[in-house]
Amino acid sequence: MGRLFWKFFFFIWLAQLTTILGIGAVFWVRDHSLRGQLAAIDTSPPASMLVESAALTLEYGGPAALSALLEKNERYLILAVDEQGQDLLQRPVNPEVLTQAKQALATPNNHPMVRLATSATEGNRYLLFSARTGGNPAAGSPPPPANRPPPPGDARFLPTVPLATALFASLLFAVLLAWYIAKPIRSLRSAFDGVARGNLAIRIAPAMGRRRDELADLGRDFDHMVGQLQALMEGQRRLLHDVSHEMRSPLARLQVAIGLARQQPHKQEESMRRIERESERMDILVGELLTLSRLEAGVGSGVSENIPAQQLVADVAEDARFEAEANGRKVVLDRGAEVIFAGQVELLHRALENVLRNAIRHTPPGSTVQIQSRLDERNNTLTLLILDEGPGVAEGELETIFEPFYRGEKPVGTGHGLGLAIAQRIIHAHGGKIRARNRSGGGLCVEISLPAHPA
Amino acid sequence: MTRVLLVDDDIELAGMLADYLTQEGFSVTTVHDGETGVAEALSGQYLIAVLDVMMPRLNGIEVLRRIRAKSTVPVLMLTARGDDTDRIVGLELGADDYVPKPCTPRELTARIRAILRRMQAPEPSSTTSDPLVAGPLSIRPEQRRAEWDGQPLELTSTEFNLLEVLARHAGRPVSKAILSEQGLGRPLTRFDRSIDVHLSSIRQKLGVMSDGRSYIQTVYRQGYQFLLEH
Repeated sequence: MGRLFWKFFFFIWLAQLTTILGIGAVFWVRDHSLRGQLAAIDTSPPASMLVESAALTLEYGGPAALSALLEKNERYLILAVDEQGQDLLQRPVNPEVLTQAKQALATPNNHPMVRLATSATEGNRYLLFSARTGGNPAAGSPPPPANRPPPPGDARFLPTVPLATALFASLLFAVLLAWYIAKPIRSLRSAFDGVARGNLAIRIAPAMGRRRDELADLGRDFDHMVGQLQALMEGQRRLLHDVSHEMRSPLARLQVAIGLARQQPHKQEESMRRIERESERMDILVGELLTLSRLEAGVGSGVSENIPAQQLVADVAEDARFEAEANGRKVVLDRGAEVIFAGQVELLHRALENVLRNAIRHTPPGSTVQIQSRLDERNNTLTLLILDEGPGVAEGELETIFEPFYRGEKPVGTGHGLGLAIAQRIIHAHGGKIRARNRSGGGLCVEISLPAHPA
Repeated sequence: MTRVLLVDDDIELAGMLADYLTQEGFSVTTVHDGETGVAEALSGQYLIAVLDVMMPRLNGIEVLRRIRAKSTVPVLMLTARGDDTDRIVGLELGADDYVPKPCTPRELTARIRAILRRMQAPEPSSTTSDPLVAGPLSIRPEQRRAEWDGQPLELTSTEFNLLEVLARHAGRPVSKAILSEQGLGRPLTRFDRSIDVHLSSIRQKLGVMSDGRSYIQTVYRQGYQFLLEH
């Protein structure tokens, strides 16, 4: 149990104790003032009922009947005092209690526990009241039989049972409440510890159970954060793994090419060409990786400018067309839309080029890659569709193709699988969206939507 | 001519390696995917198969598993440098050796030669007719056959070599350096756990002693020892 638990526990308990003591004090004061007034006169309802019935017995049955009644009654001590101060049964009478009884009788709203009754037979008047037994020896009560355990509600019981119950209950609820608050904080803490030690698989939602409050919200936020971190770390780790693997292939070829050059000096020229080619490949790979990491760190550095969309698309298509036609593929472009993109022209050029080159690479010889523009004037977006006639992509991998180093089932050409990943990051950095879907007639359609405003 | 099967999905690399190995006097066949690799390796035409672990679809480990299910043809793996799991799993599955990739073609050639040499070398033993006996084990190096309690043992060529070295020194510890030199045909390198992996798979193929211990014991800081029961 942590400090927080004990702090909550003590404060809650203190609050409850104070409340109990406060309420107890109020009751005690009230009770005390009543008792001060009637010192030793038993004020409980059963006692006053007995006094009442004793008075009636005296009035209708006379002192003899009253004596019989009083002798039979063991539980309460009812005194019947005549005008000379003598008890009917000759029991000792405490003068103080007698005085009090007389005073009580004199007060205007007379308590029912003191009665002045007149005997029907003799006309003698007796003062009837119930004297408190046991607790107050001054009442002059006789020893047992009247000294039975007092009824509940008696003053001596008050401080023990209810107080203990209240104390126990306050203790229990203080513990429960403190635990209820401190527990999620403890599980949060241990989760933080786990994350600090590098365990990103930790989740605290199960520990929160069905709780619904700010602490549970905090737990869910924590889980969300850790999930994001985990995905990010996992992505980075995979990227690093892929990069090292990706570097390995050109390196392996380099080493073999060097070995060949040594082994067969007459073929050195060919080996040198290979070595050159491999080092260029590695250079391109490193360059693309740097671009990717810069894009992931946020573009920021470049200046945003107004780029005419029509011109940009035409430029990219023109560049790609040369290469495509050399390989027997065509690039067809529609009229486009006269709108303006805001952003960095070389980045957008690169994104479009990567998507277009990817399409050209996968479309079969003799087929056509189309570029279509669709302007949505209401939302100020221009959507570019790049359509090829290649084999398309498995439905489950339509999003995976934008991940670094994805190269499909049958890799085509010498790409590293970074082109589309770079394109995606560029489009996202420009507030746009990119997605791929398979065309109904075969082939892949890549949709790029970018915010655009009229020229 | 020594026939070598080269299984690697990198067409260009495989071509260059084949060129190099051909110059070194091997007859090389290259295939570029796992399925064909398995079929070729099981055809019995090759003295050794060189297998790249990192291949799409059917990877080298799975290819090795399928080859080993039916054949003990020597297999040399090309593993990614720094990836220990591939290497250990490969050796456990019965690969004879591994070369981390990227490697120089000279190193690859040397490893291929080492495996072939210890597999083919006829034992210059004067007692060719008598088998080498150590406890329940009997080895006929000239036939490359080993028996355990009269039952033939299925060993890869590397396992056979290592077991032979241990049996020759039965009752005495053999250092890992000697095991590497004589069993794998190459000097021991630091952090190389190949010997341990090979020996652990040999242990599983041998029976246990009457007190339940394995016949091959690790001797702390010295190497391994083939125990003889008294």
